[in-house]
Amino acid sequence: MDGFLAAAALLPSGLRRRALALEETGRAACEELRLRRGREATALLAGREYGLGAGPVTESDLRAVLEAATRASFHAAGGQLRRGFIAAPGGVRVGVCGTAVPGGDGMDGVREISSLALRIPRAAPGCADGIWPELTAGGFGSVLIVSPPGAGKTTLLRELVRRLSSTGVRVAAADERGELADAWDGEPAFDVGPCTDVMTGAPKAVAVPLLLRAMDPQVLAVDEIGPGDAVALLEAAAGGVKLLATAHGAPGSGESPLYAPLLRARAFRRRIWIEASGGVRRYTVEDLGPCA
Amino acid sequence: MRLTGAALLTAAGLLAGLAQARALRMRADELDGLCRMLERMAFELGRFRTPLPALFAALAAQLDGQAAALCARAAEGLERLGEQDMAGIWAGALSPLEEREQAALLPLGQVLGRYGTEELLLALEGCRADMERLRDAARTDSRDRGRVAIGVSAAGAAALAVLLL
Repeated sequence: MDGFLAAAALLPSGLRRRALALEETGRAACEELRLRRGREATALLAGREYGLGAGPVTESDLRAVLEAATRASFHAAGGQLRRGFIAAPGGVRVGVCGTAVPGGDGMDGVREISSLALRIPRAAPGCADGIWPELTAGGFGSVLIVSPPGAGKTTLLRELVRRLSSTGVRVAAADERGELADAWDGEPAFDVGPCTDVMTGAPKAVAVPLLLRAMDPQVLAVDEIGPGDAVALLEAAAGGVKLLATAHGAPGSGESPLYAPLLRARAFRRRIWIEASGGVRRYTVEDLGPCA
Repeated sequence: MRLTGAALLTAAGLLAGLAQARALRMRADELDGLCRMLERMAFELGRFRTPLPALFAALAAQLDGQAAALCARAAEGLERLGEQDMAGIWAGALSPLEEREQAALLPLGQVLGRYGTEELLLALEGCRADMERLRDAARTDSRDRGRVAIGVSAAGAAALAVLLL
């Protein structure tokens, strides 16, 4: 299903009608639908929010979205809420804000929901065409994709996974947030290539060793690496597995602690910076020198 | 012959009284079944946070009578989630129940699927208290009216038999 339609399907009927009234170009460019209690619902297009023209969002509207996103099981979404979002059908990611319920793992859930962000997944076949020759010159080496949030890291990662997999390379993807492949009932909704194995929902530090042992990948793909993932990724790299990873960051902001240990260990051959402006994405490939 | 007819008439009256008493007892049992359903829901949601589709499917298989049928209807209704919200699905599943039972269980539909465990357990507790009140009233009714029904039916039939003799 189209990502926009999948996101709109989560909205209560009144808001859904308003969202579906967007023109085709608006739907195609829409990155997020945002609902804030007491405020007008908005669509995020090219980095700017536009009102949907409906009345103020009510608590009932927010609850209806959560009901649809969790298949009427919001009470069972505690584990996902600890990560700050709910993975909904169609690859839509629902970010949740409200009052945290303290629990054993720091947070047990969220009550008094104040706002939701429905992130629309996009498949963009061909988006890596311009940089593919550069990435494969002298053989494909490990790649780190870096950008600020919402600039299209996951979209580019998915496309690189698909292209590598299409050439017969065995790719294993640790899809913690379910956003990369959107696997429901075991089948990826996005095309991630014929030779890709996806582990959905497990934290990367858990999924990576499992994938290495069980699936014998040639390339390991991980989305949004964090400080706790470096050890597992370094182990994979030491075993000769190429890495394809994304991380938050911006050009000129210095080396992020999210991935600095991996750069110091020369785990990546190249880094791709993504800059998004006015809905246009620009990729810059940086050569980091040979991997260790 | 007359005596046989009188005996049969009295027996028929007694049976009618017993049937009425049984119906009253069955209603109390069905209400008890619904109370146990709410208890099981609270346990499963509180302890395991079971997703609703799995919860209703499991309870439909494990419970009996009206409670099982209600859970089966809710599980079936969840397949239409998206076209209909959970409150509507729950209200639809309750529709074959008696009005008072529906009124006791209906508020749960506003919370199911939309709120966290804490709020769900609170709503379940409220519904269970209402349902237990209905069950206790039905039990008292069954005990009191059941005896009366048997006595009145049997005595009425016996009196009629005497008159006919």
